[in-house]
Amino acid sequence: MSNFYTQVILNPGQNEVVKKTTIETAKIYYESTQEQETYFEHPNLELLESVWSNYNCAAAHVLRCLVSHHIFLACKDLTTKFGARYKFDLRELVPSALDDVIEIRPSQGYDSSPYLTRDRPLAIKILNSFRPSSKEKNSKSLKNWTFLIIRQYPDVYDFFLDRGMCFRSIWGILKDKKLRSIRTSIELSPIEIGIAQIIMKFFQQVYIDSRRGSAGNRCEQPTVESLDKIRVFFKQLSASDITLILKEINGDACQAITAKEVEGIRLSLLKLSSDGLLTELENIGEKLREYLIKRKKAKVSKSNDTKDEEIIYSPYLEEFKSEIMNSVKIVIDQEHQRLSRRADGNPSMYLDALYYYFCLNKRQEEIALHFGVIQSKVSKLLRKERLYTDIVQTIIEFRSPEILPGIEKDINKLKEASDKLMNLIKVNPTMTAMVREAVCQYTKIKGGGQ
Amino acid sequence: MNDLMEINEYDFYPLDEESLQLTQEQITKASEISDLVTNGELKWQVYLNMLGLAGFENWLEDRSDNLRVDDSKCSLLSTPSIAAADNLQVREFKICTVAVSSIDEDFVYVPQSILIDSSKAAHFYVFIQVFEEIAQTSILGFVRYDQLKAQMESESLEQFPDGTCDLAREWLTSDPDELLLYLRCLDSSAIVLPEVELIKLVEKKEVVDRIELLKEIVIDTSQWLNNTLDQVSKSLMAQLLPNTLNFSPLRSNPLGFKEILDSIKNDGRIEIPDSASKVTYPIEGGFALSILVWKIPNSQDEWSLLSIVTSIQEQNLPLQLSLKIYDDAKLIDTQTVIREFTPYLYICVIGDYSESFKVSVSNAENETLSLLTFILKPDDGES
Repeated sequence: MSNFYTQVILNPGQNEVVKKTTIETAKIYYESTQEQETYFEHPNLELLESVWSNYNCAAAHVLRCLVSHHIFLACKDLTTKFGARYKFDLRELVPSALDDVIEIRPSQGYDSSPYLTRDRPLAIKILNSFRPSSKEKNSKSLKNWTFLIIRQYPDVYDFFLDRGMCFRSIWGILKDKKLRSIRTSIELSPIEIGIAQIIMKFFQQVYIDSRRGSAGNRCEQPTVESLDKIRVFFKQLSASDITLILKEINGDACQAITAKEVEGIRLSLLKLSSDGLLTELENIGEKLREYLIKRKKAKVSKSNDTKDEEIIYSPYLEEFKSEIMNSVKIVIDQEHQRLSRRADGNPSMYLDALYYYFCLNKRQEEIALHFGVIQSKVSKLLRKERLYTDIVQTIIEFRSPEILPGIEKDINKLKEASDKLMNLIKVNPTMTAMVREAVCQYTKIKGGGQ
Repeated sequence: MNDLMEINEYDFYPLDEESLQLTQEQITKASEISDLVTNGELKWQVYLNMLGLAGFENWLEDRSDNLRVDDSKCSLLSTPSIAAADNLQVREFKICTVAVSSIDEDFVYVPQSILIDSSKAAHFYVFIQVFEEIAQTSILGFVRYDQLKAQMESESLEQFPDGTCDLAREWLTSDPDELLLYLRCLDSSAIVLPEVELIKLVEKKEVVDRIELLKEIVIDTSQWLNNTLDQVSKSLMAQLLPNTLNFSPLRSNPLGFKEILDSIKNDGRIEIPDSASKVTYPIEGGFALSILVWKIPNSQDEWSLLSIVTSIQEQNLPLQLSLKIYDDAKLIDTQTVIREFTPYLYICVIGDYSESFKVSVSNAENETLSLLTFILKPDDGES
């Protein structure tokens, strides 16, 4: 508990504690609160807002610490789960999320008024959107809410995007979901499925209308105007319209719904307020998200069961030896030219990366450190798998006439030749070394590493 | 805490290194092309498929200096009416791309027409995952024509009222490098496509009293009376309009669909019952052909067909656009735009159940934009 009313001022850069003070007013306030732990899970929204708006007051510091604490926990969770695979650590992630930085000016004394260095930090976004007093069944604690919001925060979103991970929002899931597949994705009664399908049909109709031409922008919560527009559609629906729409969506798979049930659906839709509709959409979105998670988990465990295919060694080794250098030249030249044409391409860095990797046997992590970029950038630049694929396909494309005659007219032979050669390059030590050597040699000729 | 509230690794879709960014120019073009479509859902599908096509072109450009996409025959770019980019060409291969926006589904959703219309048959059907939210695309997978044909022969595909089929993901080859291998090294004769059944419409210039068809598209409207769209219309991306809803694909017209009907009724010559079934077809050139059918009250064997042509893109129809109706192969009536500011053309005919009506729309150059034959076969015992 003392963490929430102890102010610690660190010396920038050295992480030394300059000053540690107890904020007495906050200490008295929080210690007087009954059931403190519950309070922190479900704080009073009005109190939060009034406290937050005055960030000079002591209680505001405490609140900042509380929210920041949750943000920090969320960052730790993300790092534990994804850090190793996507090559980042906590120090790199935290600045993207914990941006509620208050500048304290030592010249004016540590107790002087602090200054926010960012207008709308994540912490404020979390508090502004938090609905603790909600009695709805999906009401979330502040901690849960922080975990939900953090992944949608632009800086965090971009941080992951740079590393090849894209978070899907429930609005994106709802926008893209094929309506008839809801039946197999959510466990609900036929009537509830019917309601969900009709809600989503009109949500998609209204939502996609505003998204055309704005690809690349994140899917945000629908506006009040959009929700009202959907509700206007609901008001126009007759029972026969509902039957027709459900039939159009589900085809023959549409279970017979009685006239009474259709009327029930119509009345349920009519009753929805804007807030109620939003909650319904959130609930459907969460259920679909839950389904996607379970489905992916099942898929992963299934694929873990599969055994590695037996590696096929091939008789092609000798025949293709002479082709490798020519292919390497073509492939590296093409990639180099492609990068030269692109505004964001960096052809010299590409050659340097090849040099460090294939000639000096440096790991991607070391190369990233050398260039001062994140590791995924190096991985994208080298694209080892793609390099090998291109070498193999170029060998086949420009092969000498006597090698593999007629394979271009036989799909199976073509695929077999490609697979065998790829296996050789990846598995056979002689062949692997031969490719590495060819890449290294040609990279040096092109000026890599100079 | 409910563990599903926590950040879960499955909340992310890992973007592989081959995901490519779409340019703003490509996004704008997709938006402009989809503007040609009035049907809201199709409009979005056309938009996504334009993004998918751009993604495919980006991928090929990124992977090979020698392979380029020829999209000059692609109907998506000229008369977008299906949710796919058909008739693309890479070397001598025919390609059809289909955008996929939903993720982690067991199926991809494919317009029926690209599977059943032999003129749209392709050596490779390529499925492009469109991450619309981040304007990126990647190759989700592909299926060769020969593989698709074999699968379809062993397992029938269910056709849904929205004109799409569910294609199992497991039918797709997920490795785009394999597609690249074929495009680079395969001879196109290795995959045999069906001979194209000609659906060309031959219309003799000026003397338009007879028409010759190599293949006729016949639409049985009897299902419409039960609020169900027939399979042929579905494959043509037609839309059945509910009686009480005003979701008309004619929304861009200054007159709404209801106003057009009121205006026709006010001519005083036609009585259109509220129960008339209404179906709208998008047709070449950015027009819509709406067909209304109903049984003649107090008659045992007669039905009526009202056809209305409107423009999707413009407020008015272009000069010399013609709407014609044939009974068997004889011209019954023709209406042509002879004055500017004509928002619609219509013809109403009555016939008995044994009669079929051919509805033709042609432009100033006398090119047929649409030619559909409608019949009404009432249930046994009714006629």
